Amino acid sequence: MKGEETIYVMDIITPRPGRGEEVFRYYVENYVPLAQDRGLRLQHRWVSPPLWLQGNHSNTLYFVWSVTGVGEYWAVEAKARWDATAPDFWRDLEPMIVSRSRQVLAGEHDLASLGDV
Amino acid sequence: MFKVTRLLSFRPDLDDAARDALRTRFDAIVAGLPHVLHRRNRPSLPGSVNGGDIICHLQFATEADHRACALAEAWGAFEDFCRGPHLASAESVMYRQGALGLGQPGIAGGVHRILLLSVRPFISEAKVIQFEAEMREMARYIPAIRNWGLSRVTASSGSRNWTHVWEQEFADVQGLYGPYMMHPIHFAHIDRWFDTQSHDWIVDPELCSTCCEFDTSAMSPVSNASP
Repeated sequence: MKGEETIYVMDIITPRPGRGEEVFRYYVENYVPLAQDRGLRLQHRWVSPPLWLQGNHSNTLYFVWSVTGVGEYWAVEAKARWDATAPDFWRDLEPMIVSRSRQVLAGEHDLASLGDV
Repeated sequence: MFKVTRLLSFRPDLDDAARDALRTRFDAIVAGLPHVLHRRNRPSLPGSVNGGDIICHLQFATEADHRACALAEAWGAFEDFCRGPHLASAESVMYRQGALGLGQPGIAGGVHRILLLSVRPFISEAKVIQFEAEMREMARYIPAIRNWGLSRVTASSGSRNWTHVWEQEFADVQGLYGPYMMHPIHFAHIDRWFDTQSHDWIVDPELCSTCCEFDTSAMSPVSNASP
């Protein structure tokens, strides 16, 4: 139904080799409370492959968040956008990681509703 | 086409009568500017963010025409008003018209939205070019954007070193706050350039987003009407 689509926000993070668990803990302890305060709901905390790699190998971490509807998405974003400290976590994370990206997704079944503007 | 846009905000302590008097004075100043091809001097609509009380948008056929205007006595009065003690802030940009999309150049009436944005320092040119390319694609997905322009700023003043002007014309304000803001191409794709938490964040979160009503298009290169 319009306005009730589930919109997912996924952080995909590749820690530096051998630092997977450290980055995972850092994200959970430092970012998760901030994002929850802004209204994001944490749905999944995935690790690939499902063990902490050693040596020269990097895990990939997937944190999947959700909001309901575009209005809630903008409300959550606005809280971060007007918080001058919002970029600090990501800046502090940089030395620990190889790369990261943030994707915004929805289920295929919600595409028609989301596109009906 | 060469353009000048000013977003003027009155001092908050000025009452309605004082504001009306200032608007009347500024209307006369703008009307007297020579070499202007198209002039628009309108109050901003509710919902604007850092959008000023007055949107003044001037178009010149060429940059030389703007220089000729700037030498006229009337331009001095214009600048004096824009620096006057009655204003709390004045955002100013000058730019050559950049990329242009004219889906409905003959649009008769609607809402002109202007976004002033500042790309953060030390962002690579390749990133900026990609950002601009994606912005230009928005109208393909959002038909409510009837006409649009994306321009790099050549000179600016105000609260930021403005780098770009993103203009759109809609049939009505609902086109801006409905389809434009709510479409997935906007919030789920383009917005990552503005999102301070995204890996692709390049735009300073301080923006000027404003809009005003118009009678004739300011985006069409053949436009010569007023206001």
